[in-house]
Formats: sequence, C-alpha cells, structure tokens
Amino acid sequence: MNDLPSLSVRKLTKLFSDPDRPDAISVGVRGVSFDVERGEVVGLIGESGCGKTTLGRCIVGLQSADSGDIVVGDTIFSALRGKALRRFRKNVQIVFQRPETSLNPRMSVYTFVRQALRNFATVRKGEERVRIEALAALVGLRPDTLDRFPHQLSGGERQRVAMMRALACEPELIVLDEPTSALDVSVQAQVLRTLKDLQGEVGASFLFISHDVAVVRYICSRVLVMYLGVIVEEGPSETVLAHPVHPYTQALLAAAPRITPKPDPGLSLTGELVLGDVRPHECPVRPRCPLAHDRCHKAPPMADLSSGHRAACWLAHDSAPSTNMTTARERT
Amino acid sequence: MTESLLTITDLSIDSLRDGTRRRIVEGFNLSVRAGEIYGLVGESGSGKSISMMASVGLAAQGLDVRSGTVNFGTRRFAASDQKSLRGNLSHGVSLLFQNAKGALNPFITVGKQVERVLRRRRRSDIQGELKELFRVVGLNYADLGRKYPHQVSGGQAQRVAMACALATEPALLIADEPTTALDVTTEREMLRFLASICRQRNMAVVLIAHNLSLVSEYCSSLSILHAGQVVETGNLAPIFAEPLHPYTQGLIAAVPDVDSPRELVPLIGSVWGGSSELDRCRFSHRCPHAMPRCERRIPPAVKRDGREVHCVLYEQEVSA
Repeated sequence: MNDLPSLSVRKLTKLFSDPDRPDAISVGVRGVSFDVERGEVVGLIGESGCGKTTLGRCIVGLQSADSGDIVVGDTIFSALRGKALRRFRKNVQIVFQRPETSLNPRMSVYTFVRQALRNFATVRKGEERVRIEALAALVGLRPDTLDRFPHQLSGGERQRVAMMRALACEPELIVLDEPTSALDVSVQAQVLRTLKDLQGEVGASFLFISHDVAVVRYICSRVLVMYLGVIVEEGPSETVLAHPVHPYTQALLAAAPRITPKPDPGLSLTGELVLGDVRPHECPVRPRCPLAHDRCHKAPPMADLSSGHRAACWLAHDSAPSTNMTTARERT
Repeated sequence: MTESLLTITDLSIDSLRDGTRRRIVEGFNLSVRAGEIYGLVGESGSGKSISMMASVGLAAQGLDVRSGTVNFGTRRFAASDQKSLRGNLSHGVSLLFQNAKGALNPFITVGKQVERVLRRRRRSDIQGELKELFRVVGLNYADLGRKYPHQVSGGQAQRVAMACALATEPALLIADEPTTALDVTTEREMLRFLASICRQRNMAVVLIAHNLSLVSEYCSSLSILHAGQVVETGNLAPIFAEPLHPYTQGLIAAVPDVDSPRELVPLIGSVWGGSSELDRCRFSHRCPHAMPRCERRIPPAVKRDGREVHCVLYEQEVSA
C-alpha cells in the first residue's frame, strides 16, 4: 500500500448565496483543506448551517464544488467525469442521518445491498449470498434481517443496513453524516460500538460528521471544528476536546450536556449564527465571540500550536510557539 | 415543602392498535410542585409522552385510559374522562413540542400566532403584551413579528412556540423533548431560559427527554420510565450519584462522556422485546441481573436515599 492519504481536500469552496439577501455572507464551504490518513477516523463538528453536510456531500460527489479538489488515494475524484466517475464512486460511500429516507422501501435488505455489489461488480454472482451474510455479521445484524423490508426494522437496524450498503463495495472512505443523531441514546451506543469495532476490521477511513462533541470524542482520533464554512480548529481529539484553544470550540464544549454538570462550564456564545452580522474578511465567530476585540475584524491565520493542533484565532496566534503561519483562508 | 400542583395517580393506558389490547402504561404516578422542573426520562416508546398527554386529556385515538386520577391544583379528575380533563386543564397547561416548526402554522406570521393565543385570555393592550412576550422569550417583535415560520431559524421557532405556550400564563408547561432538534449551544440557552422563566413565574415544568445528560443540570427530581413502568423516581442528586435500577445504570452507561471518554455499554434488546405478560418487571428481558422472581410480579417500590426504586434486587435487602 502507498502512503498517500485516503482523502485529501484541497481549498474546496462551495457557496450558496441567498437572492433575498445579496449583502449577507454566503453559506457553504469556503476554501477548506484537510487530509484523512488511511484507516483514520476524523470527526467534523459544528452547528447546523456551518457547512459540514455540504462538505460531506462534495466529498462523495453528490454536489459539485465551485472550486478546489477532492483527491481520493492518487486520483483527483472531483476531476472525473462520465464512466470513470461512475466507476470511481465505489471508493467513496456515505451513510446519511435518516436511514428511513436513505433505504429503498420497496427492496428487502438483501436486494438493496446486492444492488450495491452489482453496481460495482465487486463479487461474482455465485458469491453474493456469502458476501452479504458476512457483511450483515460485520455490522451486527441477524441473518434473518436480510429478508425484511425497511419498515419492518428499528431505527438502529436501518442505520446498520445503511452501513452495510456503504461497506459492500469496500470503499476507501466512508462519510458518515450524523449517523446516530436520529437514534435513542441506548441505540446510539450500540451503533457507535459497532462502528468502532468495524473500523479495526475494514480498511476504510471514516469522516464522521456530527454536532455531538461527546460522540466525536468517543469515536474519532482527530477532529475538525467548522464554523461558517471554515475550519477554526483542528487536531487530535484528546487535545482539541480536552484543551480547546478557539473560543468557539470552548463554547461548543461548554454547551454539551453532561451526566455530571461542570460547576464552571466556561465560555458561552451569545445568540445564534446570524449571517447578516458577519462582514467579509473578518473572523466569522466575531459577532458571537465573548472574547472578540478590534483585531478580530481581520480574519486570523491558522496558528500551529503543537503536533497537528491548529487554531484560527488571534489569541491562539499570540500564544503559538512558532511564527510559522499558514493563511487559513484566501477570502472570507 | 409546597403543595404539589399536578399529581397523577395510578394511570394505566391500553393500546388498541391492530385489534389487540396491550397495556402500554402501568400504574404511572407523578407529582410536580409549582416552580419545579421535573424530568421524565426513557427511550422512545417507553410511554413518556403518552402518559403526560393522557393526563391532560390529550390521549391519542386508539388509546384507552383504563384507570388513574389526576389532581390539578385543588381539583380532581378521573383520567378516563379525557373530555373533562381537556376542558378543565386547557387554561392551566401549555405544551411545547420537539419540532417547533411543525407546531407553528406555516401560513400565519409568527406574531399573529402568538397574538391569537393571547386574545383567548385578554381583551386590552394586546399589542403591548405581545411585545412583552417576545421580549421575555428573547426575541424582538419588530424584527420577527411579521415573519413566517419558514423565515426563522429552528431556535427562534422554538422561542415563538414558547411565547405561544406562555401567552396563556400556564401553571404547568409540558415540554416534550423541546431541544432535540436544536444545536447544543441553542439547546443550552433554551434550557437555561426555561429554568429562569420557571423560577420567575413559579411555573411547573415537566421536561420529557430520552437523554439523561439533558435533565442533569436543570431538574430537581425525575422519573425514569421503561415500557410503561416507572423503574426509579425521586430526587435527582442521589439517582445520579448512585443509580440503583439496572435500567438507570444502563441509560447512564450509554451516554458518551465529553470530559473523560470511556467504553460505552449499550443496553441490549428493545423496550417492548419481552413477553406481554402484565405482572412482571418489564425490564427483565434486558436486565443483566434478571432472575425467576422478576417474572412473577411487578416489583414494588423500595425507598432509599430520597428515591423509590422498583427492582427485586433491593427488595431482598429490606427483608433480610
């Protein structure tokens, strides 16, 4: 195997402007770059509207980017067209938030997963049954589930079927878009356990999109924190989620519900994300940030803090050990 | 100790779906005082919403309320008389649902919707009161009043729903997973706001949630419900410090912890997976400590450290 990352996102931009509010800043993804190493589980967290789902959809090719590249292994996925694109899709799969809308209600689980296998002709027809039964075992479904239809399954089982389909063609990368947020806590725990076990058995890398910091902390080794289309902090989970540097990450963590509430939860953001408040070329968090000051009217660069830990905040910039800065965004 | 505002005693509900009668709530008790936030926790399908809806006269079609009494303030109602419950409680009780946008009428501006509720209660100075209500829920009437539900954010929609709920000056608010559709930051703001309103107006709140970590900060007491049976109920602090019922322990072990990640221990099976026999502990099919005695009868309440637990494990200690 080569040493190339499974996924390399390079300066990806996809913006949606609101015709009713031409002066407001556009939502979407603006110039995001990051890598997912082979076999790595990377978490992508942020509030609704921060662009995390758009980013996920661009990565699996469900949405075309305005600019930038998606590189999967050694292929520029975003440059492929026609048959080559279709064939290559086997390498990037997605699991959606709501399995009830992403499964075909008229197909049994077996037929549904078989379709994925046949699409990419990954196994010979005679071996399909064996392969599908093995996949069911892998995601923790009983063999008799294979002959059922989606409406006969529970939410957790449906999500396992969605995972089965994604795994069927042995992809390089699976994007999981809020895979457990529609589930009960107890079912969520089951699905998360399965995902964690799976990760060791299949070679795929995972990009785990979620708004739940606790879930991300549990399952991901590295985390990206997104706000209004840009990554504001990234690094190993235990660093970013235990010692967050960016005020936004701190506020997200402070707001997370806990079994044992913290006596001093820390920073909290004011209000909601209002696009009209954010001016171009400034730090996007500024209007809500309790620590905002004059400098924040200029977008801060990404500051390298420690191995792999980076944050786009002037305060982080001040405390950064090196002066080796990379500009986080060309334009805001 | 203040008098309890709402007391539900021995509520039992049958479901008549698919032509079969099935007991879905069994001997449900609950007591909420004014100014208190009471947590009602359990997985989907455990009967949390059904119990609360039935106790204010809003049992869905296909449900048969078999027994139970509801005391609201000084009055007493039979739970089986849903019509009289509905008529008498509609002025004192407000509801808040999970999907705020679904609860608002898409064809009417949010200002008008709150105004309509307001007009049921008072005749004079509607506009002034309307602005005040918007201010109370943290919104600006001038900015938002003329907007339609699709033009506001999820958090704002939930605040508008809150304004509707508060417009009748209810003594009790039933909040059914009010923050599940919201972001964590908005969720926190919403719950804090709920707590402050509850203090200011001396309003009682029943907060229905499926996640124990949500109630930990804001409730003083709670009940944990599994398959229509209360398994553990009482003061929050001792329950969280030392959960006694295996189901409560299981729910806590299933929640991922942000501060100190540990292995998750999922609950096995599903809420209604056990036999349909009535006189048994309905958690036994999922319980790591299940024994033959669990199948014989519904475990009676055992009192310990300011809470009641329904489990044979603790019954033993009392008799010994």
